[in-house]
Amino acid sequence: MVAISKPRFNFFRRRAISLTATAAKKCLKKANLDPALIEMLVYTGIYRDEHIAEPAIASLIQKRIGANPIPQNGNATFSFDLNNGGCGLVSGIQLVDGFIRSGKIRQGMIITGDAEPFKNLSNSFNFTSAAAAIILSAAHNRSGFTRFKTYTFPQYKDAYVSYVAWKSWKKSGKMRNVLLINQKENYPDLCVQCMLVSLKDFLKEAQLNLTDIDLILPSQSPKGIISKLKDQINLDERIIEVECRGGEFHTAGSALALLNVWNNSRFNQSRNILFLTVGSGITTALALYQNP
Amino acid sequence: MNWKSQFESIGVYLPEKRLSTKEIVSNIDLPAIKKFELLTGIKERRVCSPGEDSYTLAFSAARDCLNHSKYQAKDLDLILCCSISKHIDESSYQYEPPLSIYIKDYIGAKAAINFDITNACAGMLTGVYIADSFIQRGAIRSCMVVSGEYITSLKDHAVANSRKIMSSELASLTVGDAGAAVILERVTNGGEGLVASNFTTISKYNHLCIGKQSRKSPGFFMKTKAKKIHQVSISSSKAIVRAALKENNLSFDQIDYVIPHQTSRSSILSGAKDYTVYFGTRPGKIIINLRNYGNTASTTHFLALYRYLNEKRFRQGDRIMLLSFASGLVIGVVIFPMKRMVKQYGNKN
Repeated sequence: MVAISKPRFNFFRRRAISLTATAAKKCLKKANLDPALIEMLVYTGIYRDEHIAEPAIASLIQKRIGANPIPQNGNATFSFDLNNGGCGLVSGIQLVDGFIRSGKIRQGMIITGDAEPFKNLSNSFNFTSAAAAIILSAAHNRSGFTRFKTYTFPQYKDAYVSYVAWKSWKKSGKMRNVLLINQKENYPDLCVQCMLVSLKDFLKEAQLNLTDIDLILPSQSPKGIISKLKDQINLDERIIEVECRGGEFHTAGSALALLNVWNNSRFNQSRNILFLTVGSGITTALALYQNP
Repeated sequence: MNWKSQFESIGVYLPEKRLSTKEIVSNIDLPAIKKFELLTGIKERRVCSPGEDSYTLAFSAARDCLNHSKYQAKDLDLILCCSISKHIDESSYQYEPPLSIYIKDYIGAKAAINFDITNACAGMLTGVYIADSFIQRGAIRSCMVVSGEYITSLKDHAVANSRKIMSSELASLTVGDAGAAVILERVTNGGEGLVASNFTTISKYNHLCIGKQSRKSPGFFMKTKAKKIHQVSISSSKAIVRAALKENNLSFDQIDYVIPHQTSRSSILSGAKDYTVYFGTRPGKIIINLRNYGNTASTTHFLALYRYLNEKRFRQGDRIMLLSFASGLVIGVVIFPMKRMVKQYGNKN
């Protein structure tokens, strides 16, 4: 099950934690699932309220959605955060999928959300506030994730760097903790290049041809990668792009693409669905979901 | 096939520079603070010098771990970086790319998958729990769990803001900097493995310790309701530890060494007393490793293990319990038998 949360009006600023909690609640409601049955909660977002470093953001969401804030009736939830840039969501899915496969848990939820940590205290922060939640449970049919693979290209680790520094802030001249994002001009091109290399290897290992893929759910950032990807792969209709006015969607991007095809039944009608994510590092994470 | 996992090697890096508790509290104008060293059991801690940060601590610990290991970096299948702090200097903090990719690149672990895990002071044990799960189901054979905690910058905010003895920032005066790394591997000889179990987040209490940034002061600060978090950690964890012991068919007195998260000497002793009453028995020894290092966040368990291994205090067959208490509130238990690692660190017994 998948759900997202975005601010209804752009002029109402919403914070990452409240957006993520809303997405998680919506997801539980759509799945008609008691939050007490979520045994693992993994947050994969990056830019959160006031740069909270501890506790894990997942534990804050756990309490807000009422997923066993204290263990009771034999139910308990374990929450933690996972950071793998724009690939965090797929890494989170891979991790929860593994715990389900090994029988350690029955249901897990991957949540993600990003928003500017302090209002107007960042340089080049172009991400639209958005959050998403995905519930995974043991499959009773033959549908499900069948293959995951992550690739890294550390030679490009300086192509996108984000950090917080104590510096004089241009708007007020006062010293502040400022979020700085340094993205090289060719970062989108490098991302697409890495995605294509990874895609080729992934398909070869899976013994699939590109034409066997019915849907590609890619990252939605950095801006421009979807059109560049479409230029390189002749599968226009199958690559899902989500409209974003102004900014770009960060870690929730591929979940937004998933929701798009989930709502119009394309997901269920497709046999091979590929998550194709990319992020800083440069890292790519691919996951194949197959319907019978 | 359901595989078991075991610790194969441990590495640590400690900065050279030492900072005494006396030096820190001399900057706080509170008469009662003079007893801080006595209460916490922390005489000094290591602190980063210019040029050292979360990255260099993690790099050096990872390198030390490989130096004690039969594995080469290229053999590793997974690298999990579990630091709370990702400082690139005293007041700068990096989000992207994740620290794990820098570690992977630094040690040359080309084949490894990598990502960062954050779970407050339970970070490394959460990493162990995840690595154990990957190994159990046969997805990987080996994993390095690593952390570099550059957290002593918390003390600056605490010193400036501690105006009463019940200040919520006093816990920030206990912290020290350290890097730690551990390699987990698949057990291949049919022997006993580690059991990482009952990892639970009791999020009702997630407000009791919060670390974040302020708009108007450099770096991070941490606010802790120390007494309350200690009380609920002890009261909530007893049943969880009992369940973990039951899973291992063990009683509490069959544990030779318990290594709890290292906060303060008085908290650990008072918790041990409560546990003894609850279980009606006590383990062989409860390790307190605070005197020269303080609370080094996610690295505390492995710093204590490393010290005891190097001091040749463990014997083959000793049964160890690592007990996690962390903001969140996270409780987790890892139980394992000490095996051939004692020989790797020079103990012939």
